[in-house]
Amino acid sequence: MNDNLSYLFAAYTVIWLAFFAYLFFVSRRQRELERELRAVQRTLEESKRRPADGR
Amino acid sequence: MERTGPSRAPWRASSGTATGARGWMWREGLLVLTGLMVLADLYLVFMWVPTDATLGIVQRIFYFHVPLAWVAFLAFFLVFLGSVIHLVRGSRRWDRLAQSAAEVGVLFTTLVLVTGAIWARPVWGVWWTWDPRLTTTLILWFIYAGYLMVRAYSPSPAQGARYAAALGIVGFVDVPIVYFSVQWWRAIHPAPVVGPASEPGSLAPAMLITLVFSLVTFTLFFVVLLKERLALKATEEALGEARELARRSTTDTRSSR
Amino acid sequence: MGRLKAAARPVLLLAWKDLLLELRSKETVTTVPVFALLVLVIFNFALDLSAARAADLAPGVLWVAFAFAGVLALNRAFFAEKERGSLEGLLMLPVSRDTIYFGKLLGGLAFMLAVEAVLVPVFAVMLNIRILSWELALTVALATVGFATLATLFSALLVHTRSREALLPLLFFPVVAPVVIGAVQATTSAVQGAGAGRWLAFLALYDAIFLIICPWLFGHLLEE
Repeated sequence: MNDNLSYLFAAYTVIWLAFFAYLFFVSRRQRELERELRAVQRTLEESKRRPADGR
Repeated sequence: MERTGPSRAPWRASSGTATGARGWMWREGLLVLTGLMVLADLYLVFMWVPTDATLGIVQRIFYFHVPLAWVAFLAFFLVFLGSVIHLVRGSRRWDRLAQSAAEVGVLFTTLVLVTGAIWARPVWGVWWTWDPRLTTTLILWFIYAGYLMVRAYSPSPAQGARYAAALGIVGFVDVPIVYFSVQWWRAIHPAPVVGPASEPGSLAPAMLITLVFSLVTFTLFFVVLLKERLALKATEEALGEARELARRSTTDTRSSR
Repeated sequence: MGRLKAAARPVLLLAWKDLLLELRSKETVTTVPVFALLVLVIFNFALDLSAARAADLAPGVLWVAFAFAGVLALNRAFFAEKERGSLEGLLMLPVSRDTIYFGKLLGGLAFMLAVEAVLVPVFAVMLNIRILSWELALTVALATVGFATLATLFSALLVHTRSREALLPLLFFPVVAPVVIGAVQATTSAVQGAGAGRWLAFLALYDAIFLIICPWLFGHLLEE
């Protein structure tokens, strides 16, 4: 019965590893994208302030 | 145990990135609640519920495996719902929900298959059997993996969304059919290894309570993952729109000289 | 009755156009049956198809061959239109989306049934099994309708998608798994002389469900 404990542990570990890996990757991508979004928004602001400045 | 049952309406997507105080309150409240439920669930599954007489300790995988399967099915119901509404009303929010639910659903389905195999090995002696439930879950996995792939390979996100919606609908209708067909078939040719029923008729009350509690916990966790993915999707789209605006404004700037 | 005939004409015309094109180009007419036979031959190498066991394995081999050949034949419903450049023209026809769908479906179906009509006796001979009951014919018809219904939809779905020839089997096989199961079971029963009724009813139900859903989805897919 104690051998089967390793199976139980394996199942449990896989589940929580998968969940946290998913959350981790989603969060990281979210941070990256938010950074990019702010950068693009800043560019938009600047181009609005200097509309005829095309050189 | 009562569920606070946060709604899964697509408008929730905004609360993931909401800067208002109420948005954050909901989000953090949900996270705290889910965390507490997880802790309580772990206690129930590992300490409280009695060990199964016949199957031993490994039977406790049941309290994870079964809720994962039910929640995966819930996810694909959401995909179906989102797909239908998206096709009928052209709603992008419901499409976002469908896509996010499909992704998390595939994650849960993968876990169902993996935990099922980990359970099967000590209990039945084999890593895999072609019984109706496992076979249907495998087909389910393929169908929704296909759903996600079609979006990736489509010429535009809008078209990809429509194509995927069609798949989401066909897939959801097909899954019960697959299940019944395999079950009928297996009735004629029973599997070489007889597997235990996933819910044995005589389920002790303690076990039932643990199972239900686990189900609620995993559903909450699903909602957490879904909201995170929805928020990410909303940011992706915002970024796409912002980039489009920036591209157009620089073109205008140059052409106005 | 008159309205039904009026609605059926464009469908039949579309199907006829496709069949004529296939007959003239002879692309699928030659490759598809040969491919199905080749699958049978490969199975002979993979499994032991000697007379004693052939009866057990034959239905499975038959339907794997037809399923693979079917994907090959049916994907051309819309992929060929795009290659020829006639897809836009097809969509601009003053007919309903349903008409286009059923026209394509009918063309693919007629083609597949013709191929199967030729191949079933050939398979029976090569696998040494008793054949030709009305139950077998009905099985083939119902299963092929099931394949064609979904393959026509998927063909339209994937026509603008990258890697569409690879994605079609990927999407198609999981969804038609019940058809394969039903067809094999019904064929086994028909060959053994036992009742195939239950599985025939199952196939008919599957066909009915998807004959309703697929045209509806098809209409939505082609909006631009």
